[in-house]
Amino acid sequence: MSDDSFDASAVRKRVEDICDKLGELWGIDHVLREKWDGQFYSAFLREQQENEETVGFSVKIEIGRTAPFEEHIYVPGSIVGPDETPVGYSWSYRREVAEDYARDKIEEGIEKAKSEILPWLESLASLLDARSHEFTSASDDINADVELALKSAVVDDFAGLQKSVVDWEGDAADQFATYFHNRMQAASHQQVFLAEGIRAIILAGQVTVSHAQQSLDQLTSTIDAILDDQLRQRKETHEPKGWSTGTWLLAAATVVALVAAVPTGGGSVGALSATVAVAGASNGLLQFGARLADNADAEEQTIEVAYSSDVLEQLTRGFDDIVDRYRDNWDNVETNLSTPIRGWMDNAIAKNWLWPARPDLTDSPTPGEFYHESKNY
Amino acid sequence: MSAPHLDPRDQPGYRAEFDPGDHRNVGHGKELGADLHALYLAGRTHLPALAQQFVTMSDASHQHRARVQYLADSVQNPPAMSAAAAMADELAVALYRTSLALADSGRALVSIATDYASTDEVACQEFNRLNRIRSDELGLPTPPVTPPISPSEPTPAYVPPEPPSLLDQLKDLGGRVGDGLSSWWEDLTDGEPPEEDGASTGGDEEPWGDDLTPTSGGQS
Repeated sequence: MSDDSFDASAVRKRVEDICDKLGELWGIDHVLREKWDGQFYSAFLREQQENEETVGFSVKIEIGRTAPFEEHIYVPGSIVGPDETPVGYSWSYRREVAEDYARDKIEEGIEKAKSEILPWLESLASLLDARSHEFTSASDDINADVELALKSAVVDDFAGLQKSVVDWEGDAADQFATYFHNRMQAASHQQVFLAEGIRAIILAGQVTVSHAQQSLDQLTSTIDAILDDQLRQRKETHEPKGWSTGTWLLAAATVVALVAAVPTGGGSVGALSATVAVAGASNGLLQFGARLADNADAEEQTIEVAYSSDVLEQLTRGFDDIVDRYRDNWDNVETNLSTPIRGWMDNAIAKNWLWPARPDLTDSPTPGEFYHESKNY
Repeated sequence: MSAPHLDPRDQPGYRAEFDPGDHRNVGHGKELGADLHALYLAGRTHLPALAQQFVTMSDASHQHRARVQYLADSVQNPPAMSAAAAMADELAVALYRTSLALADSGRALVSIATDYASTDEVACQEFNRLNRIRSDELGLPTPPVTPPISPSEPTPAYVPPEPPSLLDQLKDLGGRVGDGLSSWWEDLTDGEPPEEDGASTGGDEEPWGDDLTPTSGGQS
C-alpha cells in the first residue's frame, strides 16, 4: 500500500484551518443571528452600558476573514468612545465599533474551536507521525533478507545436502537423519513460519495505521470543504442558514456518514490488495493478517447525532471514533494474530523446534556413541 | 567459531591414512568408504555454505530487531507490536544458533569421516578415491564461516531514512518530465534530434508549431 498520499503536516495545517474556519463561521452566525433576532442592538447596549439612545442607525460593516462580506447592522444612535466620550454621529466610529464586535466574536469562536480540537490533535500525534511505509519496507526487508533466504536454504541447500548423503543407509544414516538433517530442515521451516508471523503482524499494523490515517485525512478534508462551503454560503446570502442546529447538524451528519464509510469503501479494499501485492505475499498467514485489520476496520461505527448546538462535540466525537477504531484494530491484531503466533513460538522454543542442536566437538567421536546434544531432547 | 580451513582435513587433496593399529569396528569396505565420503562432502562444502547463509540471515535479523522495535515505538507499543518485537528477537536468536549449529556440524562430519576412514584400509582407499573424483567440489579449502553477531550484542537503534527533500523531488520530477519530453520529441521527429541555436528549418518558428502554442494564460 502506498501511503505517500498521507501528509501529517498537511493534516495538521488543515485542522488549524478548520479551527479558524469553524471559529469564523461561529462568529459570523453569532453576529448574524443577533441581527436577525434583533439582539445586535441589545448586545451593543450591553457593550456600551451607558447608551440611552432609543434611535439607532444602520451601518455597513465587513464581517468575516476568509470570506468577508458587507452587511447592514443596526447600531444604537449614540455610542461612547474608549475615553467614554460620546462620539455622537460619527459613522466611521460606529462602523469601527461594530466591526470590532464582529471580529471579537470570530476570535472568540476560533479560540473556542482551538481549545476543543487542538488538544485532540496533540493526542493523535503518534498516529499522525507513524510512517506506515516503514511497516511495508520493514516487512519487505524481512521477507527478502530472511524469509526468502530461508526458503532458499531449505529447498535448495538442504537438497544439496541431501544429495551428499542420499545413498547413505543403515543405522548411522538413520541417526544422522533423525538427529541432524531432519531437525535442521524442520527448524528452518519453523523459522520461516516465525518470520511470516512477524511480517503478518507488521502488515496488519500497516493496514491499521494506514486506514486510520486515511480516515483522518478524508475526515479533515471533508470538514474543511464543508466549512468552505458554509462560509461561501454566508458570503452569498448573508444568512445563518437555519443558524446553528441545522447548519451544524448538516456538517455533523456528513462527518458521521464519512467516518462510517471510509474504512469500508473501495479504497480500503484496493489498499488491502496493494498491501498484499507489494509484500509479495502468497502465504495465507500474511493475507490473514491484512484481512484481519481490514475486517475489523469494516465494522460499522454508529454515532448518535445528538440534536445539540454543540457542534464541536459532534466533530470531536467523529475524531474519537477513528481513534477508537484504530485501537480496536490493534486489539484485534493482538487477539487474533500476535497472541496465537507468540503462543506457538513459545511452544516451539520449549520443544527445541526453533533451532537445531549443536554437536559437541569437545569429545572424539567413538562408534555408537556419537554425541549430539539433540540426544538430550 | 575457529577457522576450520587451517585444518589439513579441510584442504584440497586431503588423503586419509589407514591406521593398522586402529581396531574400532565402525564398518568396513567400500560401502563404509562411500558413506564417509558423503559425510565428508557434506561437512566440507554444503554445511559451511549453509552456515554462512544463516550467518547472513542472522546478522540481517539483528538489524530487523531494531527495525521492528522502531515500528512498535512509533505507534506507542500496542501489545501486538510488542509481541512482534519479541518474536523478532527470538528469530534472531534462532538464526544465530542455527548458524553455529551448522558450522559445528560441518566440522563434526569432517572429523567423523576422516577419523573413521583410518579404521579400514579398503574404506580408506574408497574414501580417498571418491574424494578425488569429486575434486570439483573439494578443490578449495573449506570456506570459512564468518562469526555471526551475537543476539546479546546491543543493536543500534534504527533511524528511518529521511524522506526526499522537495529539491530532490523536483529533480526527480524534472528528470521524468525531461524523459517524457525526449520521448515526445522522438515521436514527433521520428527520432531526429532537435537542431540547436535557431538552425531548425523553420527559422524562428517554434518546433511544435502554432497549433501547440498555449491558448490560455499566454500573452495576447
